[in-house]
Formats: sequence, C-alpha cells, structure tokens
Amino acid sequence: MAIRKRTPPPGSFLATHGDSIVRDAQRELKSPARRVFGQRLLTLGGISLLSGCDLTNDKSVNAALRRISFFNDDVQALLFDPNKLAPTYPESMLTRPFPFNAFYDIDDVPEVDAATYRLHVSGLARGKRTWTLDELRVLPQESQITRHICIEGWSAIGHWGGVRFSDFLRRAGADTSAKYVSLRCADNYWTSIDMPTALHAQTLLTLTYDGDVLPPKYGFPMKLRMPTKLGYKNPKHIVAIEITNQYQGGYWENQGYNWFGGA
Amino acid sequence: MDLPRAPALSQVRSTAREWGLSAVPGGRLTRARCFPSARPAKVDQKNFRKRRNNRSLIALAVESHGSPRESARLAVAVLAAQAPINVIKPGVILSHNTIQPGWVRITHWINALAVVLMVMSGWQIYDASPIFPAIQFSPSITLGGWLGGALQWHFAVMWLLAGNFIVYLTANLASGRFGRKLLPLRPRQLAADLRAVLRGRLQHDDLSHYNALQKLAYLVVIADIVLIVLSGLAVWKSVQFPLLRTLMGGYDNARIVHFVCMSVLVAFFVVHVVMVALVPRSLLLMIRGR
Repeated sequence: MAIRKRTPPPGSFLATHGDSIVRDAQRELKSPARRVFGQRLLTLGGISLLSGCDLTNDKSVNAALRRISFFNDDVQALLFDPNKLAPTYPESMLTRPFPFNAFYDIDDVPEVDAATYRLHVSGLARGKRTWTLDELRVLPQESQITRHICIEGWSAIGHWGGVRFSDFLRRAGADTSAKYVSLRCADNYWTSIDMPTALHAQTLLTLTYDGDVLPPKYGFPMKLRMPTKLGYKNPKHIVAIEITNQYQGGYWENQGYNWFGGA
Repeated sequence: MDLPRAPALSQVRSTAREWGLSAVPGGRLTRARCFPSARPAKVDQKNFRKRRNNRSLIALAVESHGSPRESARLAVAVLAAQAPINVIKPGVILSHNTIQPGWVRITHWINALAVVLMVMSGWQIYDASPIFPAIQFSPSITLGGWLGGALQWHFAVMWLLAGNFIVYLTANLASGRFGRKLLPLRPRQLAADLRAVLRGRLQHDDLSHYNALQKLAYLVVIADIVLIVLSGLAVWKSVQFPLLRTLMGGYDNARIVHFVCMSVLVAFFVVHVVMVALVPRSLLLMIRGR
C-alpha cells in the first residue's frame, strides 16, 4: 500500500512555505551538541537559583572585592596630584550647623583634659616625641574653608584652623620617605594615610573650628583635616602619630571601606 | 490575480542608502521583480550566486504583499545579506546570516550584568544618604549588605562597566556599525514611528533594521552611560578632576546628575525588557546572533 502524500491546498501558507520550514527544522536538528549545551545552560541557571547563593556573604567573592579595593588604592595613589588643591569657599557658604558625625552618639564624645593632654610621635621620627597643646599652638597657624565629603555621599563646608601637617612632621623629624602615617585617637578610632597626602599643602593638624578652640564634638583637642580625602580618613581626638612603612589599616578600613579614601 | 507591485529601483536604492549600504546599489542591482504569492517566497540561491559571480544582472525576486516601500526593504535586506533569505510571511525575514556579531553580543551581556550590579550597589550607597528623602530603595533590591560592601561592589564593577563600554564603543565606531545601524536619525522618521507606536502599529518584522525610536533609545542610552561614568568620576574624584567637577556643577550637583543618569538607564532597561517580551525573537538574536 502506498502512502499518499497529502498536498496542502494551493495558495495556503503551508503550500508556499512548507518546504522552507522543513528545511529550517532539519538544519536545526543537525546540531544536537548545541541543543545539549542549551539544556545544560538552563540547568546551570536553575541550580544557581535553587542553591540560594548569596553573593553578599560569599567568602571568595568578598576576598576578590577586597583585592580590587587594594588595587583601587594604587590607582588613587597614581591619580593623586600633590600639587592639586581642593576647592576653597567663602565664609558665606559655611554649612551651619556643621554636622556631628562619628561611629558613636554625640553623648559619647570623649572628654580630653587639655592640661594633661600629650601628643605622642613614634616610629620613623628623630625629633621631639611628646607635644603639649601649648607647644602646638605656638607653631605657625593656617586656616581653610573646605568641603568635607562623607563616604555616605553628603557633604558640608567647614572652617578649620591649625598647623600645616607637613610643617609639624618636619619639626618632629619625621622620615618623610616612609610610606604611611598612622593615627590613633582618644575615642579608640584609628586610621592611617599615605605620606604624599600627609605632606599635601591643605593637610592640616587642626586646633580650631570657625575661629574658636576645636569643640569636643568636632574632635578636641585636634583633628587631622584632609580635604583631599573622605570624612572617615579625617580622624578626631588624635593622641598618637606613628611614622611607619607597615600597612596599618583603620577602624572602618578593616571592615571594608576603601583604605585610600581619596576625593 | 494581481501581482504585488514591484518596488521602483530608485526606491530600493534610497532604502539602501538609508541603511548605509552604499556599496550595494549602483551597477549590481538592476531589477526587482515580484512573483505571485503561490511561488515560494525565496531567492533562488543558485541563480543568485551565479549572477553575483558574473557581476552581471542580478534579478531579485521579492515577494511582498506590502507596500512597494516594504518590498524595497526586503530587496535591500536580501542584498545586504548576500545570501538566500527565507521570507516566512510577507515582511518577515528569517535570515541565516548573523545580524548581531559576536562582539556586540558579548559586550551587550557583559554590559547588562555590569549595569545590574552597578545599579543595585548604587542604590545601597544612595540609601546611606538619600538625595531625595522620599526616594529610598528596599534592601531586598540592593547589593552589598551595607554601605562598605556596596561601595566595594560599585568600585569593582565600575572597571567592568567602563572597560567593556570602551571596547563596545571602539568596535562600534571602528567597524562603522555605529553609523550604519544608529544613524542617521531623522526627526520626520522619528515622528512617523512615534505616531505608529502610539497606534500600536510599529512593526518589528525585520530585526536587522532599527526603527527611529530604537535608534533614539540606543543613542540615548549610549550617551547616558558616558554621562553616568563622567558624573561618577566627578563624585569619586571631585578634587583630582576639577574640570569634570565644574562641568557637573560642583560635587553635590554631580551626585544629582549621577542619580538622574541612573534613572534614565533604569527606565531604558524596563522598556528594553518589555520590548524583548513583546518581540521574543530579539532575545534569540542577541544570544545566537541571528
């Protein structure tokens, strides 16, 4: 018995396109490898969804992100121009009141006794190791109105006065070819910075805010002000400065903030 | 039986020019013919090859129930593909030639991944200090877990986004694809396509050819990514890049520019995905190239 081929009525879609559709289908069927690959790809996607893989808590992902953050430190060190100044502003643009910001509440601001306060210098420095507040106040003073940029995104314009940090480092006999300056604070905060930023013309060991003695909420007795760095790199209530070639990290930096933190 | 009208040769040429196929018309295409619909709607491969090799007359068979303009488009598409093309229904072309080359597909998907990661981590960063207090993003749609984690993501994926974008732009300009696919963008065409889309009549039959609205959308999103990178640089390095900071209107304003660019990008993303859902063939095209 012969199998009769059904012919579609002339003029219908199948009549005009049947051949080419069959040819297309045959061509597709010729490549089973591709179909298997497609299937596996779908399965792979399905498994990754099922496992509930959480990118945020994955150890290897975090390690990779950390590494890229260190790479970004190097990039920022390259981008940093020691002669480029942060913009300064007229007094009329001051942010009033300047916001208080710390990793603790304003009620927990440390009280530092001016009379017994000593600033300690250690590490690669050959000069004076212990400084009183009065000794710092008689050094040449400068002031600046610059923008404080917080890592959170907000910014505020403030008015700081004090000793140019490069000036202080020279007087303390610091080895300015060292890599880092590490800073420890009365509120148990600590951070460290690169030497080029420490020597930048606008890096100021500030003792005053807006013409008055630096109030506790802004870091009495002193804050290291760097308009070329983000807020968390500007430590308050500094009690010890170390010149070192060892990477020291910092309070926020060790939790994941970028170490260079340049603006 | 009425034969569909053959496209005038001049019309084929002008369509070819419109598509940037300057090399195609001229001596090569001399005649466009139409067949009754009962004939298989295919260009005869043997004939096509032979005549192409002869560099003599190329008779082009085009079936179309559409307008002469539609026929002209088909003729040009066949010429551009330099190969037989199956016309599965009037106006719909099933090409076996690559429409999206490999580098377009690879950079497209890398960009898609980078944009999603950048936007999600960016939302987490934004939440730390919202520019507009009314707008905040739920932790369920953000990436990084906290500000520090989100910043790590943002400043890692930025290299992927920017590097991939530079490769895409370079290849796009060097290959001439940018000018061929996205230009020219004519206001009149844009107005016509806009009217068509509002009536729900914009066709997506030929995916190798972008309509004016598509051209506009792709040009806007390319410019938007340029601006999002520049404003991001101004926010990140406001002291080191004073010119960029000034162009963005200062540090605080650069944040707003960055946010607006993000919003445009997200809006594009939404429309883009909706269009893919409406024209699923385009997804296949961006995966396998045809």
